[in-house]
Amino acid sequence: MRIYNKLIIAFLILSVVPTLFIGVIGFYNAKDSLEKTIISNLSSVADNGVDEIVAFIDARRSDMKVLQSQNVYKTTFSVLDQFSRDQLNRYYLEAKKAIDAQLAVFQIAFKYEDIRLVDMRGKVIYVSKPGLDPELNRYMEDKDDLFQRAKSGIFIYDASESRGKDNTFTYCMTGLAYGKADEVIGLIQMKFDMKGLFDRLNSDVRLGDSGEIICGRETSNSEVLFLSPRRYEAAAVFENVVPSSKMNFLPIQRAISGESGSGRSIDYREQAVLSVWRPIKSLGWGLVAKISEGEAFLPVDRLRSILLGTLIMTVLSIIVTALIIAKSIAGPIDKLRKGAKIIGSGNLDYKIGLASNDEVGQLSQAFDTMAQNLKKTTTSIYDLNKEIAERKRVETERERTLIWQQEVSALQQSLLAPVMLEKKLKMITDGITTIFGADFCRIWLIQPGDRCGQGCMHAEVKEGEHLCRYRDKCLHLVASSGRYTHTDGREHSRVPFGCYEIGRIAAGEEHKYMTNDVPSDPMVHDHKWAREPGLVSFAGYQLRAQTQDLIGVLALFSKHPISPAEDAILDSFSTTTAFVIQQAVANNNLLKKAVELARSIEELKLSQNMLIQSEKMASLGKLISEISHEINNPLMIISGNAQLSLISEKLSAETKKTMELIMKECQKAKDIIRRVLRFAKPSKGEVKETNICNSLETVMNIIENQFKTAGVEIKRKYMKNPPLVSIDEQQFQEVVMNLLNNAKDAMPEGGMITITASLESDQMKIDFKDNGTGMSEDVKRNILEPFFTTKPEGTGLGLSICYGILKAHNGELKFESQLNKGTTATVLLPLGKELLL
Amino acid sequence: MKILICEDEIGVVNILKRYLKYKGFDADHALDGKAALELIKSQDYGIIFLDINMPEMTGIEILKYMRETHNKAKVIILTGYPGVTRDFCTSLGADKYLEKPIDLKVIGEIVDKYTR
Repeated sequence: MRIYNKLIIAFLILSVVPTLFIGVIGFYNAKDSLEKTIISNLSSVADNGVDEIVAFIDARRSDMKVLQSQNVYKTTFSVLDQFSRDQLNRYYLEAKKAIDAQLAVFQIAFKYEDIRLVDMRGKVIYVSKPGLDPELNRYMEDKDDLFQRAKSGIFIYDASESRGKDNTFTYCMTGLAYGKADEVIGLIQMKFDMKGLFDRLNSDVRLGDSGEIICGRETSNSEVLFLSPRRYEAAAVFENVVPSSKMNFLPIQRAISGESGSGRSIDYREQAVLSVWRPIKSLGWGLVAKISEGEAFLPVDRLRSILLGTLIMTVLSIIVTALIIAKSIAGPIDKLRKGAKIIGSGNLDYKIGLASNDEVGQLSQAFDTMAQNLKKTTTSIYDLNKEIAERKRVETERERTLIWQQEVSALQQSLLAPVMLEKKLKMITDGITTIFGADFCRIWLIQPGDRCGQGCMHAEVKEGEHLCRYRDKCLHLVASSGRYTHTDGREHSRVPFGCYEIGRIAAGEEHKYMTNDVPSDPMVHDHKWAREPGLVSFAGYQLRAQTQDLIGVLALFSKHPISPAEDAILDSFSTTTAFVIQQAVANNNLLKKAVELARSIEELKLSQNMLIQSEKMASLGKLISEISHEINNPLMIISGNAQLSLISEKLSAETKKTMELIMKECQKAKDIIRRVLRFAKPSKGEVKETNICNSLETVMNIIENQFKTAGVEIKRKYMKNPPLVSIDEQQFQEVVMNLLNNAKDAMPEGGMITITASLESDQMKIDFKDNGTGMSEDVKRNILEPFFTTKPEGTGLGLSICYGILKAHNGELKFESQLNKGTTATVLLPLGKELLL
Repeated sequence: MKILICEDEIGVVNILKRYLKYKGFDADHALDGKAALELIKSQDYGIIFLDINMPEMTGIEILKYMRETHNKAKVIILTGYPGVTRDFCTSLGADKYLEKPIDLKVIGEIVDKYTR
């Protein structure tokens, strides 16, 4: 349990329990003392009541005694008794008048209701009330009892006839009436009302609103008869009785039985009351003064509410105070605890910072001072360690840099070897990958003049950032080492300026870009790709020629951060690389120039030859044109005559044969002329884009069987999906036919012809290779000459015509031959779609 | 049906006339372009054999004239320059184009076809 909680609980126990205790004790004390006060008040009320009732009754007794001693009734009693029946009798009236003068005055003066005289027979002979009274002449039913009781003294007779009338009730005091010689002559009865007295007694302020005084006596049936009007049941006086079984429990019964006392009880309404009971011994009555507990204890109840409210307020304020105090004590302690924990965990910069001047504050300040001292010590150790580590690192770095420099130097040496540029670049990327432990390293070069065209995978990219737009602004991957070693990726093999890190470096103004935060560097275009193998650093360097022209980019990815030293070496080495490339390019250019020169000389020779050849051809063509027309007519005449002879004349078999021979030879002559003419004037007829392989197959269909018969087999090596070539298919097929016939003729014993169709630098190349007799150098030199032939039946025009046809197609015809091994005739045709810049 | 042979080489004319005779036709002939044109203007021929290379007027000029005057005669071109003018003559409205030397059987087939 936390100190805070403990403190709160302790505070509550220490403060609430005593408060509650004091409150409860105080409350009960107050209640007790109040009860005592009330009982004392009630006692005095009761005692006073008893005194007043006794005094009142005593006064009535003395009145009775006064009356008993009066002479007037003694002298007139017999008259009244005699004439009571006739009240208008003169004597009765006189006697009454004489008594009224005494008794009626007495009645009015002492507020008696009535004063009556009763004779010995129990008959009422006089009533003091004026007017006719129904009581007069009535006989008392209990007269014997009355006389009996009167003889032992004056007594109060409590049952009255007039009870209930205008809510008054009457007591009757009865005494003996004496004659002149003190003999008993009858009874005197005095009726009086005690309501006034009881009202006065009840109006005592000490009885409060609910209190009252009640009187009662015991009846002959051992019941209690109430003698006073009851506050809540006024009409029930003289009538309400309480059964004797409850005798011992009610205050009134105790009072009647002669007890004095006080206490709590239940009244006739079954309400809790506080009561005091007293006996009125002279009358045999009991008196009770009571007040309802509700009223009696009202101040106590109010006190209780106030006490409860005060208690709640007190407890609440105690709780709040407890919380505040607990917090003010536990808070700093908690802060101290947390601070100690933080400092303990090594954060010596942390300050608890309690400024209070108490013990906790002092402890906090001591803690802070301790932490500061500790920090000073730790810092100095840390600084020392740091310095040692830094020195070690610098030392290691220096050693490593030295090794790098040595290795790079060795690599530079090896680059001096006379090898192809491509190989040198590969040596560079290999070297960087090995020396610096790069994940992979690549070199990209701009190769002006080499725009992505046929055969470049990159050329298939038709849109997006990889689209090649300018050939001098497109980087070509030429060397790759490490994780990736290929250089022929479809898109990645060529990167236009601005695309990817490489393209951005090439397009950028900064000569290099280096980052050790590859996974989130904005320059790196694919962070997911970089994260997977755990790439950390990237460095890319522009490669610039001495003229400052950009020639390429060298770049690498590593799984370790690149140090400044490493960067510096790489930067410097990139200059070396640029130099190597430049040198190689220069060498290459020189070599190219030499080759070009040689080729130019060769071409010059060739064109000279061709010039001679074409001149020969032109003159020959003209000649042939001229003479063909002239020959055709005679031929027509000769063959026509021969034909006519055959039709119309009867010829000998021999002549007929001769005629037929003439016709045949004429036809042959006609063919020769046709071919000569075509050679002289080869023109493109119908030119359209043609699939060379399909065209070849058409020829095969015609000749293959014939060739097989001659023991010649034809083997095909066609490329798949050859590009279309614009040719006059018929002429092309004539060329094929000619070359195949030549091949067949070169293999009189039979053999194999291999036809290969392939692409060679934007040209369609078709090889016809035989394993026949081959050609001597001499034959090879003259093979295209018109009329040059090695065949006994040949015209010497076949290859000349082929040559003419191919030239008209901007194509070429070449021969490779070795004696007794075979000949390869090669046809080259430009592709249908020539890329022109 | 009348047949005309326009040909400057008399040997060829003779051969054709003899062959046509054998086939049962008589044919007129002209040895130069001008004479040929006169005959075509004055006579109504069904078939005309027309050489291209003739003195005075070429066969092409005669063919053009015939088509301009809506001459309905069938025109068979005979030439010694094979291949060169075939398309050209056909476009001008020549019905047949034969290269010399011509097999007489071919002449026979054509005549049979047009005279039927």
